[in-house]
Amino acid sequence: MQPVINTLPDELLREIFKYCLPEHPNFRSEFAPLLLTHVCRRWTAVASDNPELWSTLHLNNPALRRKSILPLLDLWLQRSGSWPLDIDVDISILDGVVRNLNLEEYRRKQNVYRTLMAVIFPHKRRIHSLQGTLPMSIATDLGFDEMMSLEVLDLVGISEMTASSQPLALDLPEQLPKLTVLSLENVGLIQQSLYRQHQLSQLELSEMRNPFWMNCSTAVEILRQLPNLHTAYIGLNRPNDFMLPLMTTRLEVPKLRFLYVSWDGWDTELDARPFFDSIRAPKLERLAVRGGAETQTGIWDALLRFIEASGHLPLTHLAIGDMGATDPCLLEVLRATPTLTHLTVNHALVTPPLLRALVWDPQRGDSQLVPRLKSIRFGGCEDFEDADIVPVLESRVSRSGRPLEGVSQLEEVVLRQCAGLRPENEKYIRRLRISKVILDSNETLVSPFGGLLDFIRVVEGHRDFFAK
Amino acid sequence: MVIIRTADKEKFTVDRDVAECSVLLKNLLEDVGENEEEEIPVQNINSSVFRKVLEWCEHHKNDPRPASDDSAAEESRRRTTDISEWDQKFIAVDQEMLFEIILAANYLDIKPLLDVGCKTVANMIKGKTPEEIRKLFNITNDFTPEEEAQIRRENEWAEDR
Repeated sequence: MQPVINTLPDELLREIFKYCLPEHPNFRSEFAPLLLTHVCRRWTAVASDNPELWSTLHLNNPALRRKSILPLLDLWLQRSGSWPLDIDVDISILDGVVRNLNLEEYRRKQNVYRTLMAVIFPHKRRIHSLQGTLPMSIATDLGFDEMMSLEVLDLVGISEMTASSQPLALDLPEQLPKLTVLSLENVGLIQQSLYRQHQLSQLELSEMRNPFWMNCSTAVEILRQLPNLHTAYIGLNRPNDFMLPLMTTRLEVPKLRFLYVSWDGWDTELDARPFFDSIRAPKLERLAVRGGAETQTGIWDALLRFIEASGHLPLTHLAIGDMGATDPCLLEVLRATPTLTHLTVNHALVTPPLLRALVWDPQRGDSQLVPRLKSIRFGGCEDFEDADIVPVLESRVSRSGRPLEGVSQLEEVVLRQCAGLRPENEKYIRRLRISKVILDSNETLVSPFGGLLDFIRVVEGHRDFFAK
Repeated sequence: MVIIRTADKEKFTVDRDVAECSVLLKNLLEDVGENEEEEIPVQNINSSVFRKVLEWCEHHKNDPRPASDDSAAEESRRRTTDISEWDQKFIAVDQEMLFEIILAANYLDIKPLLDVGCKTVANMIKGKTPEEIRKLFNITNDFTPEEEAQIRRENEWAEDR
């Protein structure tokens, strides 16, 4: 008698097989898709003839522990037919080598990875996404010519023990017409090759290794060359060549909606002012800035000038990190952004006067700040106490459940590592009608070296900021 | 209300919004208009299975309908094999009924119910060896000796070093 499952037509068996794939694709025979081809002839035929099952490749160190990865890789590439390929790489040459500083073993591993890439290269016209971490020497081996199907390129370069003094740089030798998301960290990139990618809508450049990247003038030039960007993360890591402003007229970035700028350089004095003094972004909805240890006081004026020059920008999300003094500078920024719904401040001064200004008081009339505010996130702010924050929350929360007049109801309060909160007031805050409350002033983490860390750096990364 | 007649000639009187969980029935109902007397035949489904499908539709009648061309939602559905608690209880049936529900959901074009059925079968497969899968579904090992040899080779390639 025919098994009941085999009464299903092939199309439904195929549908079931898609759900059998593990969360992280791998080459082991205990997991789909290989497992499915070892059950019976019909399943082998259905699974082998379903290119989608074989189109995601995860090349990592565990994959390299298979006895023979090359025939497996061949099998996957052959069965994926002409389907678009999604390739995740997570390769660390130093894994197991660094302890011994064994150069011979290091070279051997490097050759293994190069061989893998060589197997994939003939299929590069159908690579849809390429993401992950890999050593710089292999990253620069990737020839991006012919990758006409590439939509997402998201690479983190790993520095190597034998890296040359000359930084290695990726080259995108021609326009890749489908490439819309480019995210690079700790790699070099040939400047002109980036400028060919006019179609890019999302760009994230962090810890770029080019000799003159990333200073303010490069950042502005990137925005000029890529007018279709709606999301940009720019990690400034080089000092500027000349003094501000860069231009007499601000560059208008017409489509930019999300912008995150960081200058988290601890070894060099970085100045973000020329960047903000050189552009205007009238469609900007989200703005995050994160400074380093040597944040210049003038950055706040530059930010304010940028916001004012952008006109009535529809800003809803503002995140400030590591920015030193915020009062009264932040007050001015908040006055200029009445559409704000989400405010995040991490490791910057949040003072009692600033909080007093955030208390919603209908008697004050038009001088009220941020009437649409729904989310407050403060992290690592030690300069206020319960008595300062509680009135802000009380004034923006309806006690009766009826909508408040003229002001939005607070929906989220996150206070992390804010030293002034006492446990009894934490309980009070939790009882207010706020949908999401996270208070962890006493949060601790286990240190990798043993014991507990009593201080945690609170950072809202660009991925979280863009996604929420 | 609409009248639906199953393959074994049983008639079901169903709320229109419940019936419209099925894209097939929704399209058929659009064709017959407001004529509530007209019976809609579903020729491939027996009454016992249809009753079960209606139970699911009744519970999910207010869920947002999936867009037919939403590839992002499709991708997201595929990434997770989580099934809601209610659906897990609903689908805890014998294999014969499970596959009948999958066939019915496919025929009636009820994508979310089809997902629940397929995810359930996938969860039964995951974590098992080929032999355990054969035993579970009563499948015969029909590989030729050559094919067995190829499987052994593939297993060897995929072994840990």
